[in-house]
Amino acid sequence: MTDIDRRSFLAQSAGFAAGMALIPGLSAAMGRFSAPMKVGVVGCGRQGRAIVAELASFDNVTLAAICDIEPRRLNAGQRRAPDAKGYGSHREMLDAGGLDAVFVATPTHLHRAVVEDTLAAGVNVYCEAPLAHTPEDAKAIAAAARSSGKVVQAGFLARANPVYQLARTFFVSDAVRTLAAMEATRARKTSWRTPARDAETEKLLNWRLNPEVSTGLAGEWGSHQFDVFHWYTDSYPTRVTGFGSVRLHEDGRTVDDTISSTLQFPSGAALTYNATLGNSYEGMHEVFRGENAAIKLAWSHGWMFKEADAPTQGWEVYANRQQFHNDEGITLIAGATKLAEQGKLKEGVGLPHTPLWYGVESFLKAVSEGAPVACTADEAARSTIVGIRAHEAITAGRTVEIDPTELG
Amino acid sequence: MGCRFEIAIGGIPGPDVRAAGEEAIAEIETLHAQFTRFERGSLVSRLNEGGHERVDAETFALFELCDEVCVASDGAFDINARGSGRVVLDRSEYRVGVDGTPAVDLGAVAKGYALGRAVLVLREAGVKWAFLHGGGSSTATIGTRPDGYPWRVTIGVSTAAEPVTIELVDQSLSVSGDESQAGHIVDPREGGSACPAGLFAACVGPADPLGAAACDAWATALAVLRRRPTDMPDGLSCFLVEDGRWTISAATC
Repeated sequence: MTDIDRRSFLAQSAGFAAGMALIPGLSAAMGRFSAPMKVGVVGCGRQGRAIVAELASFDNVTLAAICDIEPRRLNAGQRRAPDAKGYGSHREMLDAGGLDAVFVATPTHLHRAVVEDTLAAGVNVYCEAPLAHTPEDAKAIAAAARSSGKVVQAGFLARANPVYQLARTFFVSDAVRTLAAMEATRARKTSWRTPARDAETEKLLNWRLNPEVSTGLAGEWGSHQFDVFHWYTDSYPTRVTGFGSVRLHEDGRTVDDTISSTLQFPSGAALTYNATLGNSYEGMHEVFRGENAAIKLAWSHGWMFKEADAPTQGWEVYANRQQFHNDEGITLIAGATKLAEQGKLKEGVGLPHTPLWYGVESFLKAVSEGAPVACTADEAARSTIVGIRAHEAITAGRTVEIDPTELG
Repeated sequence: MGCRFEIAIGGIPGPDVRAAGEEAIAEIETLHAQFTRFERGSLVSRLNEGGHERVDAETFALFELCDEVCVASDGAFDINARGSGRVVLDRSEYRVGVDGTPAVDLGAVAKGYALGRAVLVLREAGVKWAFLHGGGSSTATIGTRPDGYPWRVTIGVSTAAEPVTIELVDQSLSVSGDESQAGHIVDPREGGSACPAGLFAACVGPADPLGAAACDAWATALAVLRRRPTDMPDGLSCFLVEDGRWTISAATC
């Protein structure tokens, strides 16, 4: 083998190693479905409208109906999808019939009623995450999903994300080895508030700041990241502590704008979680620290940082890398095999679509082609409950035990 | 979009001011993620990889506007100016693509469009007055200033011509070209630079998304054409400085 052949072979091997789990997920068939589907969206807030925009990209998918009880939001949804029929209630929308699937993007505490009604109408459901604001509602949604015989997928998006799927193949193949610690952060400077005309819309729109129904930063944001650790380690925390406070947004709110929490896993490793509405540095990411390597995941990007005494694989020599202060990370690239063949490995950093697109696409594939559900209601209920228990620990300022039997 | 956006708003209760501004900025950030050429996950990157992409109705309307301005300006404004072939639109499927070599760049229209979308968000939040700009070259307003007077913007200060002050109420303003950025506008018809030092174009129109986007696009087209084409839609006022004098101003439109 000549030097050039060897280099080419190794470069392609690098692509293979990094891309083997992703080839089906990034094939040209993505975004196309064999059978036409009519879908509806309940809830036209920011997340609902984002789903509407993603749905527009798929062939064979017709957004037939959108729904919101708040006229201003319904109007905003209809601007994006003028061909969809607008409804002021989800029951009215379901009664009109003709839908193959419904996307539920209402406030978290309203999910249960919409999901149960939709399943009772014999329609498949994609439910935004977290599933619910109480363990009872989360378990009720999971139970309804199990007994319905319909496809139910939750919006914990890491499980459908090619970068996270790729990184997980490294994690489960012992690239990290003994897990020392886990960390996750979400930082975004925002009030978490929506302008409201009056007391009624204030209650409707600013539910995240209503302590009666809000699961706080741990529930609303943390559960998405906790789910990554549950999925990777195939285990759940048994104990959680934490504290929080209002550090920046002193507008009368009682829901903390900054939290810090520690979740203890059965292995002995702990997950440290920090979230704040007071600063944006480093955004949203998760880190697994292990004996051989650390893996850092940031939704559209992922990196592996090798320890000096860890064995080196041949392909690593040719892998794409990025410098982080004193550390150098191997970029985890979706579809790397194909990109390596084309000599475009470096250009492949990041994802061709948003993480939400992959969540929506995987659900539609499950509905139309019977593909596996990326995140089942049972899995989502567990991460939802962990998020709720973490919120309880933070608001009460005490350790909360998480009963494994509660997680099923 | 490679620039700083700033928003001044008021006319609503205290806590809602920040919340409304955040919603508007979030809208701009969402559009940036969709329209940037430099991120792999953007719509524009997928178009430039040869995709013929389905989009939502709001986004499709922007591409339709770009096509209209391209035709009406005889190609002086072309979002595929750096590529070859033409942008093709299929309204039945809200599908956008390029027949030819794609090099789609929405840089000459995205800021105005994003400001128009931000204006919509702010209006829905109940904002009574606002002044927004992106990179200083695209501006949009809601209502009048808090003191009841129109928003006033002086243009042409970097040219040899006498500056002109424009009054804006619920309107947008886009400017294109000045001596500090000579050469940054490409003439799609001939390929070379279309904006010699001292040339300056501006366009005033509605502050809704397509109105503000049209101002952006037509400001660029005017800088390339150096005349107001007959097919330029009514409702847009335009201004042009060339060789140190105003060759087009609102009074001549």
